[in-house]
Amino acid sequence: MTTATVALATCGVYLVATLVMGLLPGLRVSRSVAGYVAADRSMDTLVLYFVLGASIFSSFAFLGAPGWAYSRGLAALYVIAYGILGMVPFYFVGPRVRRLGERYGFVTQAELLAHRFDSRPLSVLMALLSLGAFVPYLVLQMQGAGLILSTLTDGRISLAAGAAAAYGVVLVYVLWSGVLGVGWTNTFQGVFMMAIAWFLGLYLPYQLHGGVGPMFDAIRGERPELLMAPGLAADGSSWTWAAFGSSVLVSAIGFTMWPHLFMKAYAARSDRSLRLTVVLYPTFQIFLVPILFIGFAGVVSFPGVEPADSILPHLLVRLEVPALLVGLVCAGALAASMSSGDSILHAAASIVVRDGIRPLSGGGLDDRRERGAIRVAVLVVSLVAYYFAVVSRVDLVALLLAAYGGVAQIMPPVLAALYWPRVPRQAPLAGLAAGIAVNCLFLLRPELKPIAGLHEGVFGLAANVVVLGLVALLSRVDERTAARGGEYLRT
Amino acid sequence: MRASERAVVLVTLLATLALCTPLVAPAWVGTGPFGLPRALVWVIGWLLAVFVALVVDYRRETGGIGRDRGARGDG
Repeated sequence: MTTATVALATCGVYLVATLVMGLLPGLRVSRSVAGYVAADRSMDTLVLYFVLGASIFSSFAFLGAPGWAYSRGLAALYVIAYGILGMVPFYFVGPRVRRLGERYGFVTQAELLAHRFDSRPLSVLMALLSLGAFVPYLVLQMQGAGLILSTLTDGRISLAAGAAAAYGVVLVYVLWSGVLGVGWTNTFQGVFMMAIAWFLGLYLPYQLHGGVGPMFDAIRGERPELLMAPGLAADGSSWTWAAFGSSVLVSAIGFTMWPHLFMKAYAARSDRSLRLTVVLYPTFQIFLVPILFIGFAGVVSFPGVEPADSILPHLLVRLEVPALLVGLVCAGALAASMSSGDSILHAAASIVVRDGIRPLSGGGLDDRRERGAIRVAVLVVSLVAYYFAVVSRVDLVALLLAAYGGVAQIMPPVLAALYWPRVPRQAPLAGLAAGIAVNCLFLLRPELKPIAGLHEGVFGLAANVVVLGLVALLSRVDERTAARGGEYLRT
Repeated sequence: MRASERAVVLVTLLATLALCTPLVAPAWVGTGPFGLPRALVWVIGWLLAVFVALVVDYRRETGGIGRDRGARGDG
């Protein structure tokens, strides 16, 4: 058998195993919206740990992070740095969000804000912002999955067919089992990815350099600029501390506020399981270290690989590793893509219905119809993303990077909702709109930034906080909103 | 707020300063243990510091890791 056949068979076994893992939980979850979107608020620490971990480690982490280490050196540390800082706020905010969700029946992020500030426009704006951030993210995951299967078969399976095969599996278990299917498959995929990452991260440096230490010695000799903090920019010049630091900050805030992660607070069984998940999260984060070693391993031995994101498949091909290992690595990359894609797809569909259609329909959907509508939305969102993945030529990476700045703007309204009772209802909407507008302005016209190099999300956050604060201080809060703010603070 | 909770906040703020700025520039330069770049050791060190702070606070609040099978809605 050829390498491609063995590797393709390995990927096939992985896809079947994932499908089974995804379908089984559908037998035990209730046929309600709370069951489909929040797993009947029953997730324990083990599943939550892998859901949060695997959702974040997408095909970017598996293919992009080694690419960053390979081409930009220590700049890749930014991925670990923002993960360290991004999870801590959830330790404080998460349990309160979970209790509010249980008390009021929330399953999405916008529901909490719309209820706290009694604002339908806020709900719709959040839905639009979430969708705008989710679709490019999902499209990139689909393209990643298609690319893996297409590369593996030397183009005999097209990118479109590869993406359809991987996301056909995702679609089936998300439609059948909802978030619990996402949880169980993410547990399976998380264990699988970690094993592959640690193996490759140690195997490749030993194979090429005789160890991790000698590998860095070789880089110090040939490419010392890669090991000068904070690394290199995309064009090969030195990255500035302002750009590095602000990217870490904005990404950390965006990380905490991504709606598909935030929503998992509602799925937690207890405050304790949620907090323990955050406590243990750094052990998942450490798995990025061997991932970076993969990229560093290729710097001296295989210079000039383009694009840098292909360094992992390039190393596998050039080193002529066993076919089974190639298959396992490709299955690991598929796992990275699918474990993020399923969570995003599920969250996007839930948000479309709960935060977009439901408020506009005047709440006229019963539980059964609403669950049906969410499943239809799963289908529609996946078809839209698939279209962009195989047909459109929009610059999605740029869109995704912009999305982080947009998602970070959700932080000030969330903190105001939970910790500042006397915020009038119009303040978060004004702050959020200002933050998004400023973020978009500096994204499109970077030459207008007052401080060059800073991430546009920082300016958006500054505008957001100032506008929210000014409106809150200059407006009068009505008694109902203040009373609800007091309830939120005491919950 | 418990003292250990305040410690989590403090360690996170220090980690933010340490990871987002060159305030402690020598920590980012040179070679650390096992031939690793000191910058990588620095980042892993802060990861461990945050981890330890969270573990200590969690133990103070709940009595220890492994006691996760409490009733629904505890806390």
